[in-house]
Amino acid sequence: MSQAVTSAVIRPAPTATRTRARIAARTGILAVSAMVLAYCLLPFVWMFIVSIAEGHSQFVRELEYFPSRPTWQNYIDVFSVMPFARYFFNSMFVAVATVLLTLSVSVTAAYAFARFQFPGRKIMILAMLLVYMLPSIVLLVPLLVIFKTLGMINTYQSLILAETTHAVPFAVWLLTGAFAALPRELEEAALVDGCTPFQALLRIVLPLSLPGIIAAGLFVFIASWNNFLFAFMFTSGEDVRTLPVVTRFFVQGEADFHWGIIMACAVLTTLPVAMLFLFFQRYLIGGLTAGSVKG
Amino acid sequence: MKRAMTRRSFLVGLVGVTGAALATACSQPSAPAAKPADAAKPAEAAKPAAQPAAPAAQPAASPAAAAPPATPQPQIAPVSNRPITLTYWFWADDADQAKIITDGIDRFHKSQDKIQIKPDQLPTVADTQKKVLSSAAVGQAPDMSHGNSNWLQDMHDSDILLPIQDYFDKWERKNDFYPNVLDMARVKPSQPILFVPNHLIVNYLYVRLDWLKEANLQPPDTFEDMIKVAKGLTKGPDRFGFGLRGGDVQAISMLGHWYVGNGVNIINEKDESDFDSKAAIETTEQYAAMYTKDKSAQPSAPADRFPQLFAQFQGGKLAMLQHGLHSWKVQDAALGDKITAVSIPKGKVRRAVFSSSEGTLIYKGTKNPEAAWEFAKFMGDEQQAKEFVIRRGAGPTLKSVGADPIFKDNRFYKAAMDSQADWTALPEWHRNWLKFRDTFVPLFQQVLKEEITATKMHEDLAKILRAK
Amino acid sequence: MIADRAPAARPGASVSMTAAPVRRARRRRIPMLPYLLVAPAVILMIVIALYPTIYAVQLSLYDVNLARYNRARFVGLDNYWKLLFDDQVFRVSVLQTLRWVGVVIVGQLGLALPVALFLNMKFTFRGFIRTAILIPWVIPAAVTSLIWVFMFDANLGVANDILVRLGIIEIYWTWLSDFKTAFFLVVMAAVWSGFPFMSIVLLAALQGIPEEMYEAAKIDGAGVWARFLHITLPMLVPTILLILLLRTIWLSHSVDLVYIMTVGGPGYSNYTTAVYSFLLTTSQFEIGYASAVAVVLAVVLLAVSTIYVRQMERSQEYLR
Repeated sequence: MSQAVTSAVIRPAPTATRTRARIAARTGILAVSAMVLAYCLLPFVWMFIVSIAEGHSQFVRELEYFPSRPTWQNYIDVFSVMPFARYFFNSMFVAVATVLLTLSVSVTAAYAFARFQFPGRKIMILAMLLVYMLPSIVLLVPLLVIFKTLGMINTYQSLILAETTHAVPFAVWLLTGAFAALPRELEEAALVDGCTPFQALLRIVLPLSLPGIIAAGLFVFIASWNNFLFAFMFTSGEDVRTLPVVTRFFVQGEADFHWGIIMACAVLTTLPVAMLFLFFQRYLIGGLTAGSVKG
Repeated sequence: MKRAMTRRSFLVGLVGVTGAALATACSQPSAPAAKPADAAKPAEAAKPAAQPAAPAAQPAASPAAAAPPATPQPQIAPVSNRPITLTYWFWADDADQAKIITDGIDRFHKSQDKIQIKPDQLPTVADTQKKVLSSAAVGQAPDMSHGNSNWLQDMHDSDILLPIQDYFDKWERKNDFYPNVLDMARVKPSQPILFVPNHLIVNYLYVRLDWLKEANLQPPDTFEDMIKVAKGLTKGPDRFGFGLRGGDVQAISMLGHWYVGNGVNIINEKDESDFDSKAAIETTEQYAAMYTKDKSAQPSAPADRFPQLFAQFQGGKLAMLQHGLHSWKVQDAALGDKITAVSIPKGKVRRAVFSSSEGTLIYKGTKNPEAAWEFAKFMGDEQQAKEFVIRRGAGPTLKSVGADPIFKDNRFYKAAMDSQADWTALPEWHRNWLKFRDTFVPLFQQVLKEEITATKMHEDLAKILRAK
Repeated sequence: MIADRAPAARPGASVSMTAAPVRRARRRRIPMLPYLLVAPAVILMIVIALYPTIYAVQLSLYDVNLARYNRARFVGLDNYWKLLFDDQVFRVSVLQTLRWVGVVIVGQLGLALPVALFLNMKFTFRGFIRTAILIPWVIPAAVTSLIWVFMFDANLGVANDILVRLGIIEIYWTWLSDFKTAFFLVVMAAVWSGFPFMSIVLLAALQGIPEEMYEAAKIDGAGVWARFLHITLPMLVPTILLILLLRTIWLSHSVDLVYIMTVGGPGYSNYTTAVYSFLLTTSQFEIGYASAVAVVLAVVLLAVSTIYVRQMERSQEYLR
């Protein structure tokens, strides 16, 4: 109310100066927006341009800003010069399985942390946070030996399990916050009505905290899809190899293909996470902001 | 009562959910079931009879570089139901090389009916070595693998190799081997034969004949010649006399030719080293001067590795490139008569040409040593050895193969064989070698960028070499 | 946002879900349910994180090389002694880590704050921009590495081409072959991919600053800059500190970008401690010594993490 009053009092009547100022402000905003967008997105644009250009050799200087003969051939070739579909499937399978495993153990744990007080609770929460901070390189060799002994090298399990070291603490942390934010009365009412705690969890808490769960799932998917270190250490054959490991070959110059194919591969590698993000950005950003900012 | 029930039902639900999740996570799809609908993938369609896996669709300008990410499963005619199965791990730099081995496996299968080989192809030599080592550490080494002679000492010291001297002594082929090849197979003269070599990697120097003619110069015969020639061939913005490799551990192999050629003892069995001697330091200084003073080495040398060097050589930027016989086909295809190969230029004391051998290693844990020996023998025998030599571009392990006319008719093979008396190897068997090699790269880069002196580099490295 | 807790949380009440009436009788029994709920996660973490960590510490007490596995010998704290006092590469790596973390954080924050302030302004398509800038953050580090190495390639890089056309340089520059520019390149990639996350978090914090404070300041005659200095910044400081803490920890142990782009080189210009440990393992097979380096890094970061965790404790109610 007071805001409207003060602005009504303060704002002068529109004049030419005012319009000019507004146009200037608009232009300024557009300019800054353009710069920010350019900075963030131009590399992708370039990546795409190269991917639709006709293949040129890795080291011959042929830069075409506007490809004279754009073609989708590279995207087709990607699948024939390497088992790309297999790599893609591997990444997808590992990511989805990681999400499922992580969510199933994290939802229950987070619920316990959010709704119950019990001896050891605080220690467990803090321990989880510390595990999250643990450098992966500490775990590389031990996990390598453990997986080797269990005959699990070059299997999906090894990647999925290794990923949970980051995924679970993060998901627990995010979900605990999400559950804690729900008012208790609904669950208590349900309990009074004769629901088991499990039913309360299932029918009330989960649906209400769906945004948080989706956010957690998305983060875990993205982290798993993007993971390089564990995938690099624990796989050697192409059976289980994931896309970031393939991408590294390109960066370190060991590939036999021209840049058109390499960039097409990069675009395809980026697409799932980018799409996922674009469709669910509401949840992701909500999750980011909810957890990180205090109060 | 009600409470107890609710807790139990909750427990059931919990276990169910977790179990389902774990089951999903742990289900290891068998290869056929897991394959996505990839009817569109032409490579998969080319399955049974040993088709080379997906050719890289390439214009000639693109280098046939090392390990592409595609390691298709080895295509061999399937066999099954034989009493003995042996696992065999190998790597190949490209599809053609893989085929040399898989064709060999095919022939082995056709030649007998008791043993079948289960091959596993890995992307690079380093990957293969790593996988063998880490598997052996937990007692899961394969029966056999393809391997390089510089793996042998560590593996021998770790006692993971099957002793084969007795088998070898009974082999009719044993006297057909060149003596220095057998030396490589022993690593140290006091040791027994540790593996069955089937071909050699020989280094030499590619040179641009056309540019040499233009500048009225001869291909270099000594190290100092080479530096002069490099300077003479350097021209304008885009032509450099020498392809200098600074980006990875091969840098030490290149320079190593001239350390050893100038009489430097990098490290020996008694842990003695004169890597910090004047001779060694001067070698580095002269070599680095090509980059820092003469500007006869390409500007990107500090970070350049094999693919960049190849591309620049084929793209017409470099006049000389040190590499090996195994790339002759690629270079010949790209540059034809413009190039030839000459032996590695000699130093003040001798000519040192690094060569290593590759062959079949048999691991101790194998349950079928005799069968493994049969395969190793097969892969090292004349027919298969010749396959490696002709198809890959490799030096001969056997005298009967060395008698092949290709060694006289093909200028690349000739250049490789000409240096046979000077073949030697770096002391990669030494326990400090890995650390030395890994530290060499950044220190040498610093020398190239003139951030440290060659003296400092050698002092630091000598310390590493001599460390107890 | 999380603090919006249930008013039903009566002070002193045990929050057991097993209903209130029997509370007095049950207070002596520890409820099984929460333990069952946390069991899967806890067991998983013990197996996959805690046990391997202990194993890593154990490994670090041995001189063991994967290539000579059966000649492993117990050396106690020798590895630690060596890396702290006798390893020049380790010392260099510590400096490089400090430099890397410092420069990247400054870069990311320096970019994130203005962008957050910008996004805090009201204009129609800011939602779109807010989404678009997060894309660099979402993609794999491997792809980020590829893009930046490719754009700055010594022979084919579009960045080189643009710089030459703009007249800033004369011939293509070999970015990855020069110590300074190689570091700079990795920093650019890290800033580009990391600042969006910071921006969004800062934006959320900015939006938490009550409008009235600005209004009051405007009435008092405070200009834009004064408002920023005396209202915005102080309100943001806690969030910034939290982000800095998190970033420091994360950057200190990140390997992906640096390794893929440069493998630690050229020279030691990108040789962070995490990369050193990684290379020790994968290239030299020195798993004992590599574990020692990793453990040292972890311990140092643990100290930093404890600060962070304690800060979290204070800010997140449910942790109490």
